[in-house]
Amino acid sequence: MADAGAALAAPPHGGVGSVAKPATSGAAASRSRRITAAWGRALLYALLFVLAICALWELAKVVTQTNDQLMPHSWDIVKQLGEPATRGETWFQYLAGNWVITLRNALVGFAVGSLGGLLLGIAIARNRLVGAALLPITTLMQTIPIVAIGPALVLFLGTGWVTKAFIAAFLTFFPVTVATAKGIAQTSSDSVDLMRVCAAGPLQTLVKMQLPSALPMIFVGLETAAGMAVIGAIVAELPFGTKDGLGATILTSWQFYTIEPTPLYLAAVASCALGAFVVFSVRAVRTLIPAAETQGSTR
Amino acid sequence: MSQSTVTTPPAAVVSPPVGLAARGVNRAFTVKGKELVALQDVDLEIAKGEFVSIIGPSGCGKSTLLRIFADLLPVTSGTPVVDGVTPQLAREDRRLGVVFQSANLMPWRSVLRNVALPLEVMGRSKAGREKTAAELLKMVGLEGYEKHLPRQLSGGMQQRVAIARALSTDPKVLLMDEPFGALDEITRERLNQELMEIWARLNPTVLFITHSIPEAVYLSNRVVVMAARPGRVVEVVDVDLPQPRTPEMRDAPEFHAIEARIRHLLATGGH
Repeated sequence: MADAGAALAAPPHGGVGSVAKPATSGAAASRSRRITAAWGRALLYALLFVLAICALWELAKVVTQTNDQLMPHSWDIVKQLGEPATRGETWFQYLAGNWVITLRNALVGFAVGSLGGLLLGIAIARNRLVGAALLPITTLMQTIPIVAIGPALVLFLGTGWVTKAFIAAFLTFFPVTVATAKGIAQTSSDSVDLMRVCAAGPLQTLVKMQLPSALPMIFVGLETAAGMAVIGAIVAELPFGTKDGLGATILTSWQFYTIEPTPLYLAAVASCALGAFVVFSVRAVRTLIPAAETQGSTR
Repeated sequence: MSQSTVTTPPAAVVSPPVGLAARGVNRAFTVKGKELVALQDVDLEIAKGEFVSIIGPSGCGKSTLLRIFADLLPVTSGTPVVDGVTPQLAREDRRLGVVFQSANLMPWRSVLRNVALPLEVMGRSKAGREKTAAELLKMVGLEGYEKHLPRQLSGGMQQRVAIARALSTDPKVLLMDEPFGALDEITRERLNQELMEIWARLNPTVLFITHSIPEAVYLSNRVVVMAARPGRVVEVVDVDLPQPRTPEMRDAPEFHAIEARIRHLLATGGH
């Protein structure tokens, strides 16, 4: 953040940042610095958060005098990572493998759902008839419990990763649609007039003005959707006869909970880490797009 | 020295080419089932290269008239003319520049890219449009601020960027809707001076809306005084002060006499 502040405060004619380095690499360097800073901050906060949760956990355990069966020590949960799981893998390796599988499903669904939401959001914002026709249906669709249509989806799409990605996409779709439609609708009428005076066509108005103006709002939708996509991908792995993924891991660990309680907590923590990873990735992308970071227009 | 004029010139005089004209323009809005007359029988002839201000109370239809010329609003009846053609043709042919009350800059674009926006929409090459934008920024006194973002500039500087953007397509007609209304008095007078210099250099037809009597007198060849309910032109006041205007003129008795005349017209609505 100190770097960004210095760049903003730089006087005209060059600026302090570009003195030491060639002008061409200045922008790229500051960009990679911003990525590193964003990830550094995210990791630091995550670490502090985990430590705080562990402290609270142990405190709650002492205060309520809960036994190790219901509430294992946080260090025992961590230790479980080194214990053998299946096929000669440690729990860490086993979880990491399933983590990647669920991440892939969530990301594919997130990408597809976001793109669809973006397109529908644009259509709703630009055409009142389309908005009136589609927004109620989209809202209704959102209230369908995923568990209710799960069996039907398995029949249509099979038990493979496509079903999981579809459910993640389904949950992603709605927040992105609403955020996009709202973001575009909030464009100031002065800006619309400006584009008209410039004799801009509808596509130019959309690309050069409306979408960039809507980006801060769209990213709010994307961050919400990122969490939903992860939850969707995990939930999709629970009841549909799946062997792979964090959802399946949770289910298996749950069945053996009375024998060994720590794996279930590990699986839960891995799910949290997955959600945090995807949400922070979206946030990191946002910091790279100037229009997404600058809120509102000038007065 | 006559301060008031008849809007139509004598038949013997050959009329100069038209920069802006309104011929019997009417505009009505329907608000909650009630008809509201924003403009009633407005007749106005502005010659090419003339600087004309409009002054009037809120609701007198001055912004409505400007929006009609900018092709942002249709008329109910009558004929608006911009640079000899209809507002629509003038807009599509990019003969119009508009400066709004708010600078209305895109916050994610650098100052240079904000100025170059109309040229970008036109499809001008990147090198070409950035060269033009840099020259215009120099003209409005913002050389060195090309890479800055709008939020790093003061209100006065932002409005200078907006003026540079409006000039980027080399418009024949410049429409300005209270561009300096939100600025402090010192900044406003400085920008008045700069606008005078730009006008003297490029000589577009300017229609300038303001709430400030001294600003209107200082800048204009003529001042159109309007009244509200219904929105109409009360009188067009000639400003017989020599060009170019200099800051000392603000203290001259002639200047004050014209100010007084306009103040009187605004207070009485022409009655």
